[in-house]
Amino acid sequence: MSMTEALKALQLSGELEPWIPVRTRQKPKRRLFLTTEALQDLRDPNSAINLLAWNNRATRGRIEANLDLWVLGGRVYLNKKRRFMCRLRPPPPEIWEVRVTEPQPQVRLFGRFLEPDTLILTKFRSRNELGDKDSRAWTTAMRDCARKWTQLFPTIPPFSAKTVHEYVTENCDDYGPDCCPAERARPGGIRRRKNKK
Amino acid sequence: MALIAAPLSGRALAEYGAERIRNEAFEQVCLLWERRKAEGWTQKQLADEIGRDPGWVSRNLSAPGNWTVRTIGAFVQGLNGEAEMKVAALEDPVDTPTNYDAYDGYILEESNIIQLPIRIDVHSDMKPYQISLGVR
Repeated sequence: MSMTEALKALQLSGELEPWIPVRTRQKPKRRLFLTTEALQDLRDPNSAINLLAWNNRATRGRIEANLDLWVLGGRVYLNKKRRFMCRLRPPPPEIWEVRVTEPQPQVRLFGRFLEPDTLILTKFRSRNELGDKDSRAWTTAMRDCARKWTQLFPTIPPFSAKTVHEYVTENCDDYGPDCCPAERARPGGIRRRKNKK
Repeated sequence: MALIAAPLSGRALAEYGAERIRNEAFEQVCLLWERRKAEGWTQKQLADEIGRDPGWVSRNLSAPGNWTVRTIGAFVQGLNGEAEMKVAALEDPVDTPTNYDAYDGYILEESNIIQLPIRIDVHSDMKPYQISLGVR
């Protein structure tokens, strides 16, 4: 089954939904698909994301603006200091996060690339819930993303490349796809708890 | 089953608008900055031009996180540019229409979506605002 056929089958079964900006006159330049779970995180007022910020700080508006930025071909900034998105250090491999850094609490959107300019977001998480970059929660979130991918695309591996321009073909800063070394998750994955004596 | 999206409203809509306009301003300023950089400008030069320290310039040219109207104005003037702003109605046609749509071939055509006919029953014992929905 080709990628496009797989995508259509998942849309038909209701497991994926394309993100199509409505508050614009422009046509989409990149593709974004959200899982049912991710959509629920965004739209359900009782989701963890919205309970922390619903109405009060209007997180949903900021998230939707960032999703629209991606689809409408807006500038993807990746540099040493700040990043719209970045590839998280494996394992598991090829997990990306989109960062919504305002308002507080920040939100991280987890996903993988199906092919260049085609992003599949599986789950939204509050940054607070994830804790430090080397935490067990981060590893679990990344593994959940990989598990969801396998469930959706059992025969299609995530897209993998070396330079960011292979993932994002237009309007993207010229910087490596990976998170800055200081922000990377520990290679071993799970942090071992120190025994207190 | 996917939730039916309530359209953005209230504060969420306002935040959405603020983020969209800030991202657009960032993109336009970055385009001019890249042009100036190619002409030999440095961040130090730009910082001197607008009376800011190079760290501030570097930080703000890396992401639009803390941008305000003042930031936009400072960069536009510092880069020897001029901002043009146009607010169009969503129903207006675009200035330069394009045929390219990234979703072409990737999403279901209308004909592939099964539209279930909806039966609307209104009973005499129902209150005026009650409608029962069922699939035929």
